[in-house]
Amino acid sequence: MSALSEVKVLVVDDSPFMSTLICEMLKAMGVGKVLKAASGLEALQIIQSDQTIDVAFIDWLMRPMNGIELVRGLRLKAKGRLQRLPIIACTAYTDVKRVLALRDSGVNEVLTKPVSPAALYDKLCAVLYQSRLFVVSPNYVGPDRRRRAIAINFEDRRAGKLDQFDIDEMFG
Amino acid sequence: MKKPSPAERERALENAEAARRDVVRSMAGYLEDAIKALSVAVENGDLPTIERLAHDLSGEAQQFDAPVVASLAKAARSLIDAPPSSRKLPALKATAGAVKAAYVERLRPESERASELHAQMRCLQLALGVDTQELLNLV
Repeated sequence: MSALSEVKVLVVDDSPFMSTLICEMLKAMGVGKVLKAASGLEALQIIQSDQTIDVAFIDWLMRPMNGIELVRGLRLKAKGRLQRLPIIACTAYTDVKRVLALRDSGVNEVLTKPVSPAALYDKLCAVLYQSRLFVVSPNYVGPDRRRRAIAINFEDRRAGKLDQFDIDEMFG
Repeated sequence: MKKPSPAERERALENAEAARRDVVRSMAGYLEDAIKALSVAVENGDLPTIERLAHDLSGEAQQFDAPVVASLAKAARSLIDAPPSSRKLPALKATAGAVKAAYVERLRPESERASELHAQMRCLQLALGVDTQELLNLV
């Protein structure tokens, strides 16, 4: 049995070709359950009704509700597991401005198109097995944007601060 | 959840690559339909549709290993991003026409690679105004 056989993934893309391609590759890798949605709105309905989804692959430009709107909605308005759902954004545009916009919206990883099997597999494993701290602050909600553990020579306030924000208090 | 071993990763990648090839092969017609739709939008100067289709096509064309089609999508995106006064719609129409001729009207339908080479030739022909028929015959 594959290590990914218990994993449930949602693929959100309005391009039938890209959606089929990613779904078929995930199934071939051994992912247990792969669901599809053709828009942000449809994805939101699925995510709300099925809270056992482990990871969502979300395309940037879709109608109705694009990828960024969906991610922001989940990070800022949802609660608990739904808010922390690992999200991998998929995009063909890799300019710094767009990648930063995706990062700041709270996605865990960015998967660039064309999608290779290795990139798809490694991004999936990164969110499943190397998860980062989840930050809930007034200005940002999502995985810790700092990937490197850089030594600092002043008081480290991060660990304490992360737990001080209460999602129910902030958005409830 | 248990992390996959390197051997499992290797096996997963082999299976996924086979699945990728199958999907690209089985959905070849999809690329043609996308080019057709973009060509119609370009012909009509329908900017919102060009923007949406060019976005999709830029990722899809690369996935199909069709760099000329990806260039068409990029050119369409540049047109959208340019200020209205400097938009070169006729140039984009010519490129779209050339790519459509190679992929959709099937001048030489042997393979994706041949279609891609034809598209390159047609673009060159349009850009330089030279007759590339002899070169086309060699493809």
